[in-house]
Amino acid sequence: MSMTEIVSFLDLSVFPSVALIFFLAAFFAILWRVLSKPRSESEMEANIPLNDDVVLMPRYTVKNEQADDKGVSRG
Amino acid sequence: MAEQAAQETNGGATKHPDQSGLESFVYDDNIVRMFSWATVIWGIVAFLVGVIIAVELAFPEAGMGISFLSFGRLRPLHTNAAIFAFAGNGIFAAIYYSTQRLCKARMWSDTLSKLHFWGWQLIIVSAALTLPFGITQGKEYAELEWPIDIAIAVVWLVFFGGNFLMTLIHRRERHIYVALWFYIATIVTVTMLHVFNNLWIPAGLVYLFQNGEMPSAELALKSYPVYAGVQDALMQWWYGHNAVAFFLTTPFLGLMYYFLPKAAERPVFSYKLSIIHFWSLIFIYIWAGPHHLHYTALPEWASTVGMVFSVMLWMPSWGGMINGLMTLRGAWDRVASDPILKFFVVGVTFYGMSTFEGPLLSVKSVNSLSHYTDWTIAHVHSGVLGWNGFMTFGMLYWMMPRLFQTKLHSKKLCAMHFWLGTAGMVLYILSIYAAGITQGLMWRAFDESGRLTYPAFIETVTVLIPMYWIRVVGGLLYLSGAIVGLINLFQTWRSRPAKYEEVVHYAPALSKGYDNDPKAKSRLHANTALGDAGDKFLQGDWHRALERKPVKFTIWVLVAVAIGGIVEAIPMFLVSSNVPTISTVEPYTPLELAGRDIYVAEGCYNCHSQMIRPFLWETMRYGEYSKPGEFVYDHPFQWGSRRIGPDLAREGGLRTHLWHYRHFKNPADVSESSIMPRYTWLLNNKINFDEIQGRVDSMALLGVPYGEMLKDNNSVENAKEQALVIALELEDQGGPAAQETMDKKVIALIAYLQRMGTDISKEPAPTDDVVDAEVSP
Ligand code: HEC
Repeated sequence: MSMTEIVSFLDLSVFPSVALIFFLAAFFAILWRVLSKPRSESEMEANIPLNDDVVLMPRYTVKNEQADDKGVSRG
Repeated sequence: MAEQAAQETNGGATKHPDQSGLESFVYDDNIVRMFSWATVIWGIVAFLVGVIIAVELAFPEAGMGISFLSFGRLRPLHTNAAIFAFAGNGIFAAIYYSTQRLCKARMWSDTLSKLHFWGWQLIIVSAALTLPFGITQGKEYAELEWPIDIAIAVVWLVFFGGNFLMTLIHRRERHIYVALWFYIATIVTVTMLHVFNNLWIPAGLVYLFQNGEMPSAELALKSYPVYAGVQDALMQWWYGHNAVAFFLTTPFLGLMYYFLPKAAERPVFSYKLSIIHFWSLIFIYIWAGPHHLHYTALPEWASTVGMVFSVMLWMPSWGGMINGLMTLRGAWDRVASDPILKFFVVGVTFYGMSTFEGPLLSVKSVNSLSHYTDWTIAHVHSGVLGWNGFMTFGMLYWMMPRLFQTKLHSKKLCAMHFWLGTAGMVLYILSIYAAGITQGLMWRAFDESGRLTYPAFIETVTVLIPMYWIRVVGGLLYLSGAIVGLINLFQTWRSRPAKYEEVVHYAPALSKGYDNDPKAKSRLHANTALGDAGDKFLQGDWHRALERKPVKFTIWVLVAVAIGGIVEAIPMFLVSSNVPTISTVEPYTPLELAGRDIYVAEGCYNCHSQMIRPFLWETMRYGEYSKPGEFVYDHPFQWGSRRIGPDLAREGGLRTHLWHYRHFKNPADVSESSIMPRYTWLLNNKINFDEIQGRVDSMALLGVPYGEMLKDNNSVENAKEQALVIALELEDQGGPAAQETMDKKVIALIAYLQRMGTDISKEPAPTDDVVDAEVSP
């Protein structure tokens, strides 16, 4: 049985429904994820573009004195 | 704290000498400056060509009978320049600027960035050097011939995509910001679309391999798509629609999510909404393509899928528009005084308007009126001029002064650009809406006695001329706005410092030990591993991981967009009943094939459709509606998308050769006030018979049953004989002497026109097949 025969045998009118189900499953999974995302997390992420020209403070492993003369302010 | 870049960093990351774990880097702004200039300059070229072809429709003599100025050849140049040169360079500028900053990393390779820039400009120049000369594949927005196609694939995927992905991998910001997701989707999907819509056979190379010689440069550049007819149409509009989605929408949404917060100086309204916007948009968009083919020979189920998904697109599109506009919350007072924000506000509003209108046009009943009319043209211009154009200009005005490390030369000129552009768009769009709806209604009007009210097609054209003139004015205003923009930006550039300051940035490399945002832990402490895994899944760990893993993310995007393509395409290509064969439909003769290639080269499809829809008003005007089986030998399909002239699907036998001959010489001679261009060069230029065998051989390779024609240059002899017959008939009808016309291109084109749509009404040859068909139920 060739691929052509198999596919020809299918009832094509189900395709729109199958597509819709695919979509809804993915959509609700993502909706779930988004709604359960902690607010702090998404706020931090939303601010990324606004922080990007700032010369960053190192986040860890750096002692404070070093951070003082490197960190802060713009570029 | 700005310092001069230490020479030795050379942009690449260097470990900071003091064991702080910090790395220093400098952004490559030079490449952004280059793409920005290219955007402005190509934008002006694209608008200018647009104005020229707009004038040609209002006043056809403007083409002056010059081949490379004719509408059919210039219109593809206009669309390609607007999409790939203007919008294309615009998104590259946006992507190079924002990606480096969002990743806290310089582009991975300066060499790849430069190869990308120069490669892309070279592609644009080759488009400008081929399209006006009729070197085209004849599929809208994918016209460029095969060598350029290959260049596009390399420049896009390897130079651009490779560099982008490597930058993402070497980034110093853990979370991949949503703008970057849109860029990823752009790169992945455009590659997929471009490759699948551009599977062709290069006719010249085939001939070279088989015969060891190349008859002409024209043949060397010629290619035929592997798909024919209905399948080619589906593939083309899957491409065409998604080029809108993934070249003109997703990258601009990425641009919006980065530059709008920057200009408004506040974060995007809802980051959560942007995530939903992203996934639902890319997932839904890819399915919507068949809405370009309602009521054509495309199967019903495919066009229903296209319609349902198009309507669903309303949701994410408007989610995105609201998210964009609401980002300005609390900053609306600034919009009044800041022209840059004005550009963004109008741009985003046009996004909302055109994504409202798109789904509307995909509803079958609306589409039956709008399709083939100027309504579609108005729709795309609200998208490209309003959304793409204004977002691009907004971005350039915000970004270029920063790139030149100075202030914008004149806020007044910027405001002037804004108002010229806005007024131009409004004039353009309103007049062309009016034109579209007027013509659509005239085509379907019946009088009391049940006859077409406007049986002469030209009547439905001449009423549009005043609206075409308004469009010209609108286009001129938009163009002058852009020129004001160029002057303003040029003056800004002149006030740049003698030497650009190169700011060194510091950030720690991403390390495994990073734990600011820990992985989810199971809250269940269930006694099965599956239970714990399930709980972590519910906490969204799967998506959080994706947001940090560029390669995985890219693969999932590919899956999301591929599903739509595969589910639609596989049945289309494999179901035999989708394209029922018609026994009387036969391959074109070699001469007709050569004529068809002239039709493609001249871009007749820009004004003529070859697809009669099953409506009474169409069948009364044009004849029997088109059947899928009629197009099985059409590589490429030529259904067209706009009827500036009448449908030609049943042109065969409708007119005499002489009528066509005089019509090509000067359309107005036989059809008063026609706006079709003159094609005098077709009357003088000779058919190159030497390359006909090459054309036929390539078609045969694609499965067209040419049989005897393939032997001993039979095609050439056959073509010459048919040309002589037509030339003699033409002479009989009172045309010029056969000696004079028998080797001219116009004869090949007439051969093709006289064949169009005639196979279906031929008597089937009395073969066994037919007898069988009659016996079986
Ligand atoms: C600018 C748009 C435009 C282009 C490009 C164009 N046409 Fe036309 N064409 C028209 C218009 C408008 C008419 C109707 C008026 C007329 O008959 O001239 C028309 C009419 C025709 C007709 C007559 C149809 C009939 O039987 O009434 C034929 C045949 C034709 N075109 C063929 C061509 C071919 C072949 C090409 C390419 C070489 C071409 N056209 C390019 C606009 C165009």
